[in-house]
Amino acid sequence: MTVRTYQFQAQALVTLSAGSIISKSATSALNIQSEALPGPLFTFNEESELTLTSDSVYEVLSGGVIFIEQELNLVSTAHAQGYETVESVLDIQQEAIGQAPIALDREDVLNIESVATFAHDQNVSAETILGITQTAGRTYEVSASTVLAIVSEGCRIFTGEHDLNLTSEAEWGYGYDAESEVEIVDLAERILGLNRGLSHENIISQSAAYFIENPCNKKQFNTFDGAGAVPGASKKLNYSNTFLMMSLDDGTILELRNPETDDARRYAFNRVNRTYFDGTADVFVDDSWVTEQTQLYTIVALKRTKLDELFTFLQDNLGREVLIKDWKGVSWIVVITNPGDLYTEDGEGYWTANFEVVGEAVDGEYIVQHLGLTEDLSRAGSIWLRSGSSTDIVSDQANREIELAPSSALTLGNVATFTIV
Amino acid sequence: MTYITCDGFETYGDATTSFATLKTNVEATDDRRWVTAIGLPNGANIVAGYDSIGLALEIDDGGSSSARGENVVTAFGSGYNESTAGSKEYAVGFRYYNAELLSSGTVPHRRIWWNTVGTYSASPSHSTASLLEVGNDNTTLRYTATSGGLQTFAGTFTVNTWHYIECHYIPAPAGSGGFMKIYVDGSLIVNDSVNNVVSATFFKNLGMRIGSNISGGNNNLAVETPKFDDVYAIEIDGVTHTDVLGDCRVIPLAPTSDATPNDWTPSTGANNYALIDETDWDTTDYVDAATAGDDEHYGLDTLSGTTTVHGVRLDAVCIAVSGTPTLHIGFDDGTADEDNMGVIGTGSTVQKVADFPLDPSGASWNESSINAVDATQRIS
Repeated sequence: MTVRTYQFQAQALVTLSAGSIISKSATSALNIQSEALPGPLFTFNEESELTLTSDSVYEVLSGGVIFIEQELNLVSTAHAQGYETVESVLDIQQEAIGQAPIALDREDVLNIESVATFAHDQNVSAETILGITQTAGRTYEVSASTVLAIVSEGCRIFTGEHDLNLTSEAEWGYGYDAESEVEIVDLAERILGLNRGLSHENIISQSAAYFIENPCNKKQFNTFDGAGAVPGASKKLNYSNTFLMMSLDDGTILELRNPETDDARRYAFNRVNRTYFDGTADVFVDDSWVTEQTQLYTIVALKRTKLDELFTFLQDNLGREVLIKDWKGVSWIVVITNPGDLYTEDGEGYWTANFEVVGEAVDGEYIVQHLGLTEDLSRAGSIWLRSGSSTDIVSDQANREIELAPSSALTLGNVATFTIV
Repeated sequence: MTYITCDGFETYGDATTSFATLKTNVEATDDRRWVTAIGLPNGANIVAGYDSIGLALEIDDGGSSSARGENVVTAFGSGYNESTAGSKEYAVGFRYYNAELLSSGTVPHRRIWWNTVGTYSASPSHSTASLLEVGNDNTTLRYTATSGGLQTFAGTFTVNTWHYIECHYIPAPAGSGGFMKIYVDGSLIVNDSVNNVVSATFFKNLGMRIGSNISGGNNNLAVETPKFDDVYAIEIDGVTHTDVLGDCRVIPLAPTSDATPNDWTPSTGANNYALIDETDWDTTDYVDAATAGDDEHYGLDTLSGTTTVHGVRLDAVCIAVSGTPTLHIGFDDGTADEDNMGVIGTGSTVQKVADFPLDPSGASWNESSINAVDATQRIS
């Protein structure tokens, strides 16, 4: 024999306590998204204020039960074109009041999305204020849960770009001082009553080169200044450095004197150039390739003795690992791949040598790419005694006096009220 | 003995169950002996409305006297024959709700209908039956005795509010101890010991009926949808029950855990209780017992917020797949208290109901004893 039970249930006949609630859960979910997206370059304001209050108050009486359902769907959209001020104020109050003696599910879901978007070629300040109060209350041996999920996002689509390119060039005839002045004032100011981080980075590079090709050439003074996010790939010359090479094989050390202004280090990198059958070019560099840096060194104004030492060192250590500490103070582990095959005598007793190495900087070495704000002047040659003058005035100041910065304020209050009568 | 039977209608479906399904579910079970959904009149509809914890009966009267929703629930009805004049007190209660004021008129066009005594006809009227009516202004309660007189009692029914109605009755000749008492929200509205007429067989023939009624000839009224829920009936042998029970609710308590022992075999999974805890029963999952003595214990929902527990009823929807097993259902708090449901017939689904006015230890139920007791089913 077999008996099969499909359902088994008890029913209790009870008298309720006044204001009693039988186990049912109450849930309240509040999802809010506030977004302000101003466009670039603003001249007038766009303001959007969204204040929402959602209250659900349940009073428990000795009477019966009323089912309460409350839904609130709102869409507020403001569009403007032109130079008018757009203001959208949306005041919403949502209220659900129920009187119930016993178990009743209560759910109050309020989904709000406030988006203020403005894209215009004028100055626009976008401000979104979203204040929300949500109340869900229930007591007496029930599980009450409140889920408050808020996403507040304030972003500003604004590309700030400032390029300052200055070239100051002075040319003059023989026998006169050369003077070139560059004055730069870069001012960015921001004043706000909010706790806003202010960051200003000003990178200015200036170099002055003075080179005499031969006694018949006029003196040249070239001033270079670059500003912006990409610093100049050079460093001031530092006379405290020398150019030192040491063989890691036998310890031979070669030290050259302080560099000349034309001493150069150039980089090369590998890439692949291919041409497809249709004639289109395909040039690429794979990130996975070994990052070796080919460096081409040019040393000028070497005397013959140092040139011989350099040539010997390069020949002896061809294909071997060599430690190089260049005149910028950066140490490299390299392999000499080309000791140079032709050296030239540019002036009487002064030679120019070229060689090529492949290697990487020693771990931890900082390859300086930034220039300081120190002015440097180098001078080569002993015949022309005219002074070289370079004046560099840099003022760096960060300020901002615009009070139309994008802001997003989100105020939330959560109050639970429950009344039993 | 005290006989308790009650129903919050959750047994037969949930808030989305149509009346047709509800009616089918009711009539498919032994509940017909006390709860009967009958006489779905012309044009009227009875739907399963919403309620706080599941299901209520919502009657759409169609706005016409020809579309009545009367006698929706019958207690102690057909087949019940235990009444002896003056020997028992009966108590019937329910909750009533109306979302709108009843239609106006010089006569009470609409009534919430509680027929306790008198001669039932196909078209009952207040002249032949005892009725509790809601008057035309929705603020007047009227009680009609079989003498035909219409007695009015002060009372107010508030729109959009559930009201608790409770009636106590001892059928006995006038002046011989019989009485009719009607309580609304705990207040005694009617206390009539004069006009009741002995009808020892009225339970057998008619029982107690609850529903909605429109006076004959009153048509084209606005459609109204009164709701009823938490119907209960108590029979008390030899006891004069003079106290109001209070605002009573019928709280379903489904199995929520397996207790020890668990001899029955689940159709799937390892949690026996999860297979039989559905509100609207179905045959998709179940527990089986094939050996005499197989015993099954369950923990029930936690009950809270009550002052008095008048009794507990236990339902089991089951079928004998083979053989002639005998089913015992009951409670166990260390002491077993079972009711023998008899032999379960092979091949047909039946609902077995047992009422337990006292806990297994013989004491009155309370929250603690209900929350501590195991519900049990066993075969022999």
